[in-house]
Amino acid sequence: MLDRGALAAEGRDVGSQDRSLGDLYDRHIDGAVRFAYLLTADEQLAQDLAHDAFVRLLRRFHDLRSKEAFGAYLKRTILNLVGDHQRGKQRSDRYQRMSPGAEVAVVQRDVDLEQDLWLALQELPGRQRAAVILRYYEDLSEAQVGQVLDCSATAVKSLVARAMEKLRAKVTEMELP
Amino acid sequence: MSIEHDLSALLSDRAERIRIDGTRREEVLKRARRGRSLVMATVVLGAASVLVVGLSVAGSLPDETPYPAPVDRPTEHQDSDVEEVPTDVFITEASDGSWTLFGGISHDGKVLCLSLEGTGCVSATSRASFILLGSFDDLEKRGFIYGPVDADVAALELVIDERVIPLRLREFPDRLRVTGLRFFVRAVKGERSGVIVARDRTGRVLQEMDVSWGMLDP
Repeated sequence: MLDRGALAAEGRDVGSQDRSLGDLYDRHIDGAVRFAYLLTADEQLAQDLAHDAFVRLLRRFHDLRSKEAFGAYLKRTILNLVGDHQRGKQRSDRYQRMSPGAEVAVVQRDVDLEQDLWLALQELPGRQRAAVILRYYEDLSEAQVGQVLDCSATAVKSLVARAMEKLRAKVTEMELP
Repeated sequence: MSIEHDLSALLSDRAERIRIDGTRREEVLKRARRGRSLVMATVVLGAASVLVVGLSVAGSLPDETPYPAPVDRPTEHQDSDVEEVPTDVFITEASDGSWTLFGGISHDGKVLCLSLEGTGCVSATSRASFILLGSFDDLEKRGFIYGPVDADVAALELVIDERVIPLRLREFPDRLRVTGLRFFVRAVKGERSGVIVARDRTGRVLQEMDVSWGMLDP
C-alpha cells in the first residue's frame, strides 16, 4: 500500500544519489516483479518488464512531478510496458495464426476454482485486470488505484465492478460440466 | 466465500510464489546509473545546441554552421539505454480517409507537438504547424483514432534545404510510429518550410509534400 511517510523518506533517499539507488531497488523491486507477474502470468517476462520499468523511471526521475510517489510511478510504467508488450504479442500471434502449420496453443484446463479464476483473470482487458490487482492484491483505495491508472475513483469503481462481473460469469461458466 | 476473498487469496498466493532474480541487481543498478548520466549529458548538450542554433539564427555565427548530421540507427538493434521516448511522431488515420501526423519533444516541461493533417495517403495540400500541448496524454484523450497509413509507405524523410532528416518508422498493430523527431526539431530551428518525402521499400519516391510550420500559442 502507498505509505505517504515512507514515500516522502524515499524521495529524500533518491536525491542522495547512488547509494539510494540500491535502497530504492531493494525497496521496490520485489513488489514490482510480483505486480508484473500478476499482470502477465509469465515469470521471466515479469522480471524483464519490472527491471526495465525501474531503469526507465530512474532516467526520468528529475521530470517526475511528485518524486515521493515513486512506487505509483513504477506501477504505471510497468502497466505501460505490459501494454506495449501485449500489443506486440497480439501482432505476432496474428502472424502465427496466418502461418501454415502454426501450432495452436492448448490451454490446460483445471477444474480447480483457483485455476479457473486465474485463467479468467488473464482474459480480462488490461485496465480491468490492473484495477483488480491493485485493488485486491496491493490493497489500494479506489483513489490510489486512480492515481496509478490516471483516472478518477469513480472510473476505478466501474472498472473493478465490470471486472468482477466478468470473473463471476467466467468462473460459473468454467464450473459447468 | 465471496469471489473477492478468493481473488485476494489467489493473487497473494501466486505473487508470493515468484522467486525474485537477485542476480540482476547490480546489472540493473549499473544501467540505471548510466541512464541517469546519459539524461544529464543530453540535457546539457541539448541546452548547448539550442544556444548555438539561437546564436546562428541571430547572425552571431556564420550561416554555414553545419547542423549535426542525423544519426540513422536501426530500431531493432537500438541500445536500450539510448531511447527516443520524447521524440515520437504518430500517424493516425480516421475512417473518412483523413489522416494526422503528430508528435513532439519535451521542452521546458511542455511538449512541442507537430501536427500535420491531410487526406488520402500523402497530399500536396497538407499543412503542418507546431502547436503547444500539455502532454501526449492529452492527445490520447482527444480521441484520435490510430490507424495505418498506406501500406506502401516504408519511409518518410523531411527535406529542408537539401538536408535530409529521416523519420523512422516502427509498426505497431494499431498504428505506425515514426521516430527521429529529435533531429527534426534540431533541423527546423530557424526554418519555416520543407518537404516530406514518402518512399516505398525500394527507395522509390511515392509522393512529396510541401510543409511549413510555425509556433502557435497554446
